[in-house]
Amino acid sequence: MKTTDTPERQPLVGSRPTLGRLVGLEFRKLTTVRSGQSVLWSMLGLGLLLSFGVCWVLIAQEEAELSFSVIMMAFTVCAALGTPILGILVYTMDWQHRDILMILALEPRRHRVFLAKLVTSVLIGVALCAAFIATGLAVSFGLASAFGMAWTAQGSLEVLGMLIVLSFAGSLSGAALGSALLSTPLSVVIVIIQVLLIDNLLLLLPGGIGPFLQTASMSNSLIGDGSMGTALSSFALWVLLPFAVGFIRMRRAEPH
Amino acid sequence: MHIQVSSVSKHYGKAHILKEISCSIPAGQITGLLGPNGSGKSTLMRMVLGLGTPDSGSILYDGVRYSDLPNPGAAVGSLLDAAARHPGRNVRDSFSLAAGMLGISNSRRDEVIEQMGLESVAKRRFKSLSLGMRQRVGLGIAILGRPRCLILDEPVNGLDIEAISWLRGLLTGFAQDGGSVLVSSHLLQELQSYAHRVVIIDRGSVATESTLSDLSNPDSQVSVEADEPEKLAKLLLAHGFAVSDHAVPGWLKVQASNRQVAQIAMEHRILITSLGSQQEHQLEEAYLRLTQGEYSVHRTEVL
Repeated sequence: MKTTDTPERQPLVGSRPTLGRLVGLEFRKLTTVRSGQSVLWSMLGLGLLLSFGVCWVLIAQEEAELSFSVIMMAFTVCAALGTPILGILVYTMDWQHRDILMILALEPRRHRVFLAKLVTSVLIGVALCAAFIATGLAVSFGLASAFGMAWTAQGSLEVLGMLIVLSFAGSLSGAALGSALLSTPLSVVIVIIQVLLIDNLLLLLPGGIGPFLQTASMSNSLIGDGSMGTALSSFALWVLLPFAVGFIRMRRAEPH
Repeated sequence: MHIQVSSVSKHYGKAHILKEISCSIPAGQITGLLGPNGSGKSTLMRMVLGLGTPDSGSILYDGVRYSDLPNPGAAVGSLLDAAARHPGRNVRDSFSLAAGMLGISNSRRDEVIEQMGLESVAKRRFKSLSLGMRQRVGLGIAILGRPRCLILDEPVNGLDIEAISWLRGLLTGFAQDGGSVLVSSHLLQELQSYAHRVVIIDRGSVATESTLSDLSNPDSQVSVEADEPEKLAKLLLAHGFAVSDHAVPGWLKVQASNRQVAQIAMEHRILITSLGSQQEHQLEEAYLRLTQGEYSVHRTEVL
């Protein structure tokens, strides 16, 4: 420790962090800790594993063609599983580990911190779609050429649409829940229960109101399996409402 | 930069944590914040940093609210809790995060990491650091933007002797250069070694705000060792000061200030070989007198 150096009185900077800088830092926060890295690598690893599995089945069945859409389906499953967790981490990590003390002291305009996290959640969807499409193309081309199969893009648009919808819906609904609860474990448990249990139980409700309350309705209608009414209702219930609660909490909560 | 806290009150549910607190943290001075556990020190510090909103009252930096400062993070460096950092992020990334928010270059980040003696642990995850190292990380981040104010909650917790000495030098130099410092501590002697003034709060109210010298009891005792103790004792008695025997032969206990004793001895050419003010005990006495809080430890035998 240098004992002679005392800080000079002239502050080094005079400008507050811009929204772009805050978004960049949100990405940096996510990728410099094990939880964020684990989710990202798990998604990629699972995607590759499923791709190789699908390819192995096709070879076993002596198929002559390897479709890009089949490989992309594997990555779509990963996106559906992983994006809600990433969305949750964006909003809850700072509160869970109390980094928020430093963050709000450095940038007291809390609405900008909230907005930066929202933009980050959307960009996570964009980044993952781009990464999965690039990986899917490389893997499908690589496997097709390695095993002497013909590469085809048949049905790809439908699967790509599904990937985009599930990525955005997943990251936004995860982020919304995380912003409202500000707790990583609680948010993750609720997402799992919601997908595995609550969505199915809601279908048992009389009068056909279940789809209006299901989380899945949001993405189902966009991929051609539901009405716009149920999608909007689901979006309001599982994205807008939790974000509204989260915004109020962000403005009022006092970090300890 | 002058920080003025005016009539700040804060409730959490039915608990009245801060009651009309008013105090100032002047530029160029180190202000110590003292108070028993649960007295509201940390709540006050959070309010000063805009992390909590007072129910009433205001906290202004040269007349401006914290959130309205041009770049609050660069103007005010803070350390509230050394443990409040992601345990899985490494030291360099923790600094990078703060530097990124402040818009500070990586060269300044590396300079502070080196200054804090953290180069060897820069790639280690925060959870693997000792309390002292965590404290260094927090202090390093506090000074990253070369702020004009420092708000530090228990900064010497866990620091080794070298680091405490460094911190003392840093804060003294910082105040000499015109910076404002608010530092809370439970270590009275440590605080006494560098603070210019203290604010003592008890049960959410300011018990006293004064300079350290004003807080000292003018009638308190000093211990004196002189070549001619009997002669000095007679002179002091003649000047109206109470003199009593000391436990150590050749020493006197006098109800006077250091200056008064030294002046009389000098006028009569008596050599004083040791003159011990008991200022640290005086601060402790003043602190205990002023803070008979609801959480005070009862001095009964518990073991």
